[in-house]
Amino acid sequence: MDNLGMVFGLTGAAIAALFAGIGSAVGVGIAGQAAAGATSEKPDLFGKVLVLQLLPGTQGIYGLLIAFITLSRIGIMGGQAPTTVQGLLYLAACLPMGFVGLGSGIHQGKASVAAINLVSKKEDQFGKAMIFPAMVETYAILALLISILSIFGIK
Amino acid sequence: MSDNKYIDAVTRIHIKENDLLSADFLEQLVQAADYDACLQLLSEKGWGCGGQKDGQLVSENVKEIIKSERDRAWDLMREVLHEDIRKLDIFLIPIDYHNLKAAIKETRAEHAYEDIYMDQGAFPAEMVREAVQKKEFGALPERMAKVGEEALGVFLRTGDGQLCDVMIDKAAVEELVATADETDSDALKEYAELTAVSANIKTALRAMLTGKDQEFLEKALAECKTLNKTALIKSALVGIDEMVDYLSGTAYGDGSAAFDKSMAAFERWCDNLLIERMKIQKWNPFGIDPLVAYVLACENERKSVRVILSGKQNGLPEEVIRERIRETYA
Repeated sequence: MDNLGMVFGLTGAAIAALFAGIGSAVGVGIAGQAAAGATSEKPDLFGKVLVLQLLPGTQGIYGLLIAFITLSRIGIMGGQAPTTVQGLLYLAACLPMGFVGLGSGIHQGKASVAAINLVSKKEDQFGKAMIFPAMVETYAILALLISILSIFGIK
Repeated sequence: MSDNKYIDAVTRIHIKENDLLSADFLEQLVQAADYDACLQLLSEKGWGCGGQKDGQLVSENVKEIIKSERDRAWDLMREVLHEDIRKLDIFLIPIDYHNLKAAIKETRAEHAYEDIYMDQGAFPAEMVREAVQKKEFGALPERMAKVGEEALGVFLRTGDGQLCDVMIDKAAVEELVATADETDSDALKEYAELTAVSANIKTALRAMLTGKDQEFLEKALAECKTLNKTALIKSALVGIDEMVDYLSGTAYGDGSAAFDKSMAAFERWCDNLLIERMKIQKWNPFGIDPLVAYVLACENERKSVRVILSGKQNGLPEEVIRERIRETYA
C-alpha cells in the first residue's frame, strides 16, 4: 500500500494516453477511409486530404505528452513517488485530457470526413474545409491546458 | 458504427456526383438541332460511352445507350459496396415482379416471348419463368411466391390480365415498403413510401377512368403511411375532382395540379419530389443514404435523357420535351 500514490498517478497517465489515443485512432481511421475514397477517384487530392486526415491525430499526441509529464513526476521516469493524495490529484489532473481527447478525436474525425467530402466535390474550398475540423481542436487544447496546469500545480 | 461503414464509398460517390448531367446540359440537349447532335453532346460528356469523355457511344440506339448507363451505375455500386450491394436489392424488386407478370402472361401465349423479360433483377428471369411454368414457386421469396401462385390461378381461370397485373403490382409495392422498413436507411424508406403513394394514386386514377368498383380498388391499392387508402378509394369512386380535392389536403397537395393535367405529368412530379427529398444526401458523408440518392439520381438522369432522345427521334417540339424532363440531382 506504500505505492498507492504511484498507482493512482500511473492510472492517470494511462487514462490520458489510452483514451486520447483511442479518440485519435478512431478519428484518423474514419478520416483515412474518406481520404482513400477521395484519392482513388482523384489522386491529385492526396496532399489535401492527408492534412485533413491528420487533424484528429493531435489528441493522441496531447495524451502522450500528459502521460510523459505525469510519469516524470511520480517516480517512474523521474521525480519522487507521490503520496496517496498526490496520486489521486495526478489521476484527476489526467482525466480532462483522457476524456476530452476521446470525444474530440472521434468527432474531429467525423468533421474531417465531412471536410474531405467537401474538398472532393469543391477542391478550391480546402481552406474553408480545414477550419471545420480544426474548430474541434480548440476543446482538446483546452483540456490539455487544464491537465498541464493541474499537474504542475500539484505540490 | 454502421454509419462509418460506407465512408470511403460515400466519398467516391460524392466525387462521381460532379459528373452527373446538370440542368444546363439537359437544356443544351433539348436545344440540340437533332438526334445526332444530342448523341454528339452525350459522347463528349462520356455518357453512353462507359464514362470515357469524347469516347465512342456503345450504340446509337436509345435503349442500348440507356442500358449501358444503367450497367455503368450498377457496376460502380458493386465496386464501392462489394458484398453490401445486396442492400440495394430493393431497387431490383420492380424488375423481379415485372418478370413474374411476364411469365404469367406467357402461359397463355402460343409461343415463347424472350424479349418481354428484363434482366438485372435480383433473380434471373429464367428462374421466375421456370417457377411459373412448373407452378413451383418455392424458389421465390415468400411474398412473391404467394402472389405469383394466386395471380397465375386467377389468370388461368379468368384470363383477366389486368386483375393479375394489379395483384402483382400491389404485392411489389408491399414488398418494397416491407424491405425498406427492415433497413435503417431513411432514404430507402422515403423511396419506398413515395413509390407506394405514386402507385396508389396512379392505380386509383386508372380504375376511376375505367369505371372499376370499390372491390377492385380495395384489391389494387397497397397500404401506405402518408395516404389514407379508404379516403383515396372513396374519392376515386366519385370522380377526378374529388380525387384532386382529397390530394390537396395531403402532403402531396402540390402534385394535384400535375395529377389533374396528365398521368405523365404526375409521374414526373413524383420523380421530382423524390429527387428533391434526396438532395439532403449530397452533403451527407455517412451511411448508405447518399448511395441510395445517387442510384435514384442516375435513374432520373436516364429518364430525362430517354425523353430527350425519344423526343428528338420523333421530332417533338422543344417545349414538349422540356416539360417532361426530370429535376436534376447535380
